[in-house]
Amino acid sequence: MTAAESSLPPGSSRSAKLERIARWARLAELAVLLGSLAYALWFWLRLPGELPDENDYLALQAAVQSEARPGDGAAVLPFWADRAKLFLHGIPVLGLPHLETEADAERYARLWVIAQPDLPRSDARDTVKALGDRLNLVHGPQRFGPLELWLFAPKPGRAASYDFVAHAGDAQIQAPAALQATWREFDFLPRRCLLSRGGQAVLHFEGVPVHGGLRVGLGSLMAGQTGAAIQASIDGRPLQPLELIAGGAAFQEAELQAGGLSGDAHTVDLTLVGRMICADAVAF
Amino acid sequence: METSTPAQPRLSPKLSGDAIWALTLALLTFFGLLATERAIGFTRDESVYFYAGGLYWSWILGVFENLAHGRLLESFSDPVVSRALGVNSEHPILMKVWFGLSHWLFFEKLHWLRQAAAYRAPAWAAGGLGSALIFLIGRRLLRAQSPGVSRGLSLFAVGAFWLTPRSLYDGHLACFDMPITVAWLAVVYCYLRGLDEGPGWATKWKVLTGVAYGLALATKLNAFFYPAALALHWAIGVAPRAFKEGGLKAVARSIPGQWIWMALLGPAIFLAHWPYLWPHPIERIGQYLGFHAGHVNYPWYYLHILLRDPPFPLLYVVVVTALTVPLPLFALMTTGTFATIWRLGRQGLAAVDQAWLLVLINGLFPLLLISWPTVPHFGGTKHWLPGMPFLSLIAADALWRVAESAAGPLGRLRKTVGIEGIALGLGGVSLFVALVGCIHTGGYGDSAYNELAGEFAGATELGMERQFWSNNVTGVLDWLNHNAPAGARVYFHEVTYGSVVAYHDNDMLRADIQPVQGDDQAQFVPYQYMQEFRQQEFDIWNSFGTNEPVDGLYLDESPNVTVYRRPGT
Repeated sequence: MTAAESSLPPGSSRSAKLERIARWARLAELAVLLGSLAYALWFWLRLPGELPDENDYLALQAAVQSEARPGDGAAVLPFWADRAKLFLHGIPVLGLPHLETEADAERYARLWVIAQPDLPRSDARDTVKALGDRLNLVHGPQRFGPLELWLFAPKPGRAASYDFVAHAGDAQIQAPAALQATWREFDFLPRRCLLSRGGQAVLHFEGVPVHGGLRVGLGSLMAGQTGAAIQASIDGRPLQPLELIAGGAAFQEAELQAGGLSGDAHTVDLTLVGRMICADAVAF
Repeated sequence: METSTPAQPRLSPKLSGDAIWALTLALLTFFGLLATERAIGFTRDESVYFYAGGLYWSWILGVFENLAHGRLLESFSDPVVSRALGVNSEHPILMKVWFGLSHWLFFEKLHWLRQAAAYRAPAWAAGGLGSALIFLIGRRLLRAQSPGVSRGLSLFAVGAFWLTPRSLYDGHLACFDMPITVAWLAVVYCYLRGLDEGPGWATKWKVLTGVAYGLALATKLNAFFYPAALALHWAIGVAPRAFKEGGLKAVARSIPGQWIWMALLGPAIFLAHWPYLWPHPIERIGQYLGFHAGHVNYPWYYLHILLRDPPFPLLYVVVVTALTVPLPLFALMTTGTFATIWRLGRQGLAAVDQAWLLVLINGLFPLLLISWPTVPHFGGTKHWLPGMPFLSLIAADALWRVAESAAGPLGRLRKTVGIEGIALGLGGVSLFVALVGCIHTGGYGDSAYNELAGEFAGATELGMERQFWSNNVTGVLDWLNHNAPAGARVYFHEVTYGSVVAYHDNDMLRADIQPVQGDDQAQFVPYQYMQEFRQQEFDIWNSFGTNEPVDGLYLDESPNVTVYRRPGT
């Protein structure tokens, strides 16, 4: 407080304070508008360069088609930006948030990643970096406009060697009701899984190329169900079961290590316990 | 009443020449909406209103026919009104009658407009009136400024309202959201003019307030709630002053004459305009109100949470507004709101600027009403659209203050262009940015987000609703028209049968393409992305045996409508 202000009556001092606040508030208001204008202009100037056009996708399509092999998969980043599905005919496309933590990241022999790190609020750059820690980078990125194309492969011994859902027709099945390979929603995301409607279903597979173990996933269509589980055994030796934890993620995953397996062909038994549960499993 | 500004009794459009400005704005708005309406598809509700409008107008033609044959009363018998006006009886009929009349006149008789445009034209006329009223209220509020500045800022307010993509979208539709916004604006305009008239309860604008309120009641349910905003205005801006001057008797005398007319004419017009109510008024008004009291809560996706049941997040309305109004305009609305509260607070209850208080309360009231955690939150911004004209006026006031603030540091510029020039520059760039957003959004205003959200893509990443009313299906109709085989069976997902018929009628969808009830019967499905319908998309994958789409509407890469084709089709 200045000497002049201190000599003013209390009301005048308060009024002076309010005036000072008002002055600062007006400057703040000016700063807010100028900041908003600058940000908005910057946003609109940048946006066109962040969006791919059809030619970018066609160029990417040509690049993938020239190198794609059977057993390849693809993923889009951000997980919802799946327009690439229109162009990647015959290649399964993953669209899962936090792909770097998903079992499906190692589902395919090689994983093409179509990333759009420049999209507003895109998390693609972080996810690609995290994928690089988990997978081997084969090559990339190739750029097609704002699209980035990466090719990853699981580390040795990590790629899925057998998909139990895809081979469900080859299994001997004991179940009170027919099992159904289906797409189901869990936490708003698609999961390809075997739906068991009730009781206990046992699937017996022969000649499965399993080396390290199984990666399994399980979800229940009945909220709050307890006791749902997927049990697995290899050559009659039981693995640690995956029991669905109530209140956890709608679709829960686990890696069941086998350890000490030799040879390429094994018998695998999967037991699904629970009503309206959907299970996914691959060997690796 | 007005204490902070010198009286300049140039309020009447006739005297000031503002009538020409207001009329010009109204016409520009109407023709602007007409010029851009084709881009916007038909919402679920709109298709019902098309149908109801046609039905109601047929009934009115029947009334004239019966009148000519001396059997007028037949038109008003319970079975006849129930059959004709019982359709969509959860909303009053005023706007639907206009939709029907306009369709009959401009499509059937004059062939001036395509079918949808003819139905929609009354809503554009309402929008035009809205522009005029925003301008006129702005002129009244800003009368302390020079006429040129006041006019310029009022024009800015009109621009700020319309260049918000979601408001612009709502303005195109044959629905009630823009009409109720304008109807309430008319109530407030008349109310304000009534305040300026001073004492006496039987004056022109006070009576007109009652008429406007009756029309608002006949437009949409919102009108039942908004008088609380006027009561709040009286409680803060009028009653305390009256109490100070003359105690309780003066408070009683200070009750606005407008209220009397609203209480008398409001219900009378509401009842008179809706013959469906006449045979059983109590029962049917009860049904009308009961429908909305027990309205189902449709899911709405908000920050990665699928809102299904109350209590809804308290900040929902503020957050959605912050993510949908063009950023510079939102900045002005926000700082302007705080500045107005500050200014009125400093004036004190006894000397508060009643006009600005009225605008402030009416700007915030619709937002606060929907913020109440048990009020249904589906449908997004349209539910608090009636607050946006007032917030736009507050933004215009803020623009001038900002220009004044900028003039200090920019002394040289001030000498060259003046504060007016700085305001023109800042306001012009703000509106230009908003216009860019509207152009980018195109016909998909229901999906629009602002720069803060990151538009369509950023909002998707934030976990916000991508669409709600199904009209974005227009983005794939061309593909279907060119690629579907003759007689193709299409499951249109969230698009109503009435909307499909409207697409046929307006030559937007090939006549031979048939809508079917589910994916199991369909050869094509344009799936509309909504969080609550995710399993429906996966059911299509299961049914078709493929999850590869053949086409889609991608807004800044965000999937909005995805087309699936049954293999072998």
